[in-house]
Amino acid sequence: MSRFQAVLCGNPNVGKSTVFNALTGMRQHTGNWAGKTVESARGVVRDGEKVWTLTDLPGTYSLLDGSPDELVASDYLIFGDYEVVIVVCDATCMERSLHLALQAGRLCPHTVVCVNLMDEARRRGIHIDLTQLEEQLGLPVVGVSAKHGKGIDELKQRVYEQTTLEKQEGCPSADPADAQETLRLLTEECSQCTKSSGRAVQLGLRFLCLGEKAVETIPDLAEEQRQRLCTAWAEAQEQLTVMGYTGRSLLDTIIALEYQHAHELVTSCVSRQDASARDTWQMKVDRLLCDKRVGIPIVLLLLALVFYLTLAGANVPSAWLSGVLLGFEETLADGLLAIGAPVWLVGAVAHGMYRSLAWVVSVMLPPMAIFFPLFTLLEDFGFLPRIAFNLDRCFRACHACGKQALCMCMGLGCNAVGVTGCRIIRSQRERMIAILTNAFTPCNGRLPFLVTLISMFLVAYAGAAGVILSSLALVALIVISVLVTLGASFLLSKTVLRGMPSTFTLELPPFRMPKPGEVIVRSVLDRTVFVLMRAISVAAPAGLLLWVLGNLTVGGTSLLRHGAAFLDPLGRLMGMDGVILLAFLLGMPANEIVLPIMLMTYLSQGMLIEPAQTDVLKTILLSQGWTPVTAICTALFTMFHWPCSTTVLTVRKETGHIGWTALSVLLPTAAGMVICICVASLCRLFLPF
Amino acid sequence: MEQTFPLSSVTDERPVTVTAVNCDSAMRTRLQDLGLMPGCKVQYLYPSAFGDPRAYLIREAVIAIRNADAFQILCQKGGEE
Repeated sequence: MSRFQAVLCGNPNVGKSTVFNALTGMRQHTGNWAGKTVESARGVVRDGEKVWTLTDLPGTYSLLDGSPDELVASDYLIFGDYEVVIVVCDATCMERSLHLALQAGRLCPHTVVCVNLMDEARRRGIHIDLTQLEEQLGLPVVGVSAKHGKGIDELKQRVYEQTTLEKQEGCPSADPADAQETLRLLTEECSQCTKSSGRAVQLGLRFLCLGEKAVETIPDLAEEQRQRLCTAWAEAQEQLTVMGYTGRSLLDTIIALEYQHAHELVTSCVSRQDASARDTWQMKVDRLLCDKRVGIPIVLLLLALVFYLTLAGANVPSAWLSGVLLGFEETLADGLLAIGAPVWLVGAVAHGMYRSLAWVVSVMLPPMAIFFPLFTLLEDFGFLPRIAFNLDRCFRACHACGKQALCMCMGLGCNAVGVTGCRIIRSQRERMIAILTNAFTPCNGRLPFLVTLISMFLVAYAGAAGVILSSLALVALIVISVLVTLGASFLLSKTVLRGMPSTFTLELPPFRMPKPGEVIVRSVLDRTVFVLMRAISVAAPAGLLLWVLGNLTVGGTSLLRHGAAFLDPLGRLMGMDGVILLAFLLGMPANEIVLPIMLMTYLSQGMLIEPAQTDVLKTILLSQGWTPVTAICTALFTMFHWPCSTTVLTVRKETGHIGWTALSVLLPTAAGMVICICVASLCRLFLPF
Repeated sequence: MEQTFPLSSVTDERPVTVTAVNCDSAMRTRLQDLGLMPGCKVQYLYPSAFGDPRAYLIREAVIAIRNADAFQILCQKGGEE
């Protein structure tokens, strides 16, 4: 058989995605934290003549856990189409990995155990006797270092081998002797709904944790079969009660036996040079990052450093890019005129669409191309879970989950990504809080605007000192956004999302040295280009719309001006003006174009203004009556207003509910308005502007 | 019978053995998946910046558990080896 299907399963953060990428040659996002992969990906493996498809399941700790997110993997394994299962194990954490491998081996006789991170284990003085393990486990075992592509060919070969073998029996079940007969009867009934005996056993065990509800997880179940299953379960339950078991307690026993088996395997196949070999430098870094005095300051300083490098590095290429790109605009306009295009079309295309595009690219691309690799470095190193670890206390006080901090970190790059990332939060209620508040974290599309505001009005120094101060001011804004997020989470958990904090366990992965080459390729190609393409796809039509609004006049004034005049009273109340508010409204497709819209309206021009020197910009804004208070309120409103359209669509997709989506727009908007009105009023009272 | 104490009261790095997990069922299942069950060896590592949650070494992995949950996990001195 040269065409077949295989699935990849494993504990979270064992490098499953890396193995997937190594096998398929694809570039799925990877990161050093548990839960990075939330959707199952599918790819094609080519191995000479042999071609097979591979499905990457979300990370799972156990196939016997009844919680909804863990059911995804076991659902696929019981009911899905596949011939071979590949269990990815972490060579540095074998006991837990083998526990899952045993479960998978029981479910599917054609299971291949892939022991990943062999290189890391070797460095930490862990030796695994793979031959011995293979013999004792009764399943093929392959040692792999997926990051370096080592062992992947052998893995492909062993997977293919499995499809040629006639094998009925997988790993033996770990049932306690007294319950075996009962479970056998239940399994027999289950085998009517599954393709193999191993899958039937797994389905039978599902009854133990879910009870009768387990039938609801079976797709396309006939009513008659449903009845029979329920009866079989009722009978089994009766027998178990006589033996002194409940479904849950039997499951506990089974899991304990499985772990004991895994422990025995580790005792005989894994040896360590040094019993206390949890690397000392790892512990030192961890202690430092989590220290009660210096831990959080270090995190903030690192953030400031990332901002500093981004700001300092992005200035020059930004200016260069805008010069080149905007220089081309005239060429484009001339070219269009030369081929006989009417003047209004030239205006719409060259001065409308093209100019918006050029602006967005030159303002966004350089900071992103620096920020994303730096951020990916931190992520790969294993930095983000430590932030969640440190901040959990604060989130729990707001009846939310510390993992929300991970989603916020993602949101710093792009809120849409942050919202999707909220799937790592297990509790529905806490996940909803994290989704609704993600827009409070200023994303990459808003950071450049914040920087411009800071450097124009708040930081009076030029040069390196100015950049350092700007970075620190930006960090201060991030701290404010974290505080507001906490406040909003608290508010939500006291009103529409009432409830107590749920269970929380967080894995702190070992620090891993990122591979710079890989980081750059991945962050630039995937993240930067992805976000940029998205911005471009909205910037061009938005540019067209702006051009129309700016050039259509009613009573001698452009539509833009009319809109601004209408919004002016509200804008003033919030410490801004109508033009700024209008710019935010029109900037909904992409926050990057807020500033250009503002300038275009101020100057009553029918096209976007070039991102000129900061001092020129400042002169324009000052002449429009801007004060430091205007700048502060605008900065605050930049952080707290409606999310961009992509984020809104993502929220709609993640929550599946129009009401929650509406709330995700209203909540940050209301917060921003309240904050701006308060700040503006206070400033009017106490400051002499 | 050796004296038992909650995991949250452990302050040094000497390993302890879990004797009972009295958390609610969702948390208990979660911990079970991670391999934390009676008989399992656990080592306290370090607290987070605000002292809660704290990190423990469970079956070679570093896991953060909130103190309220760790209070429900009973242990006794000495790890089985």
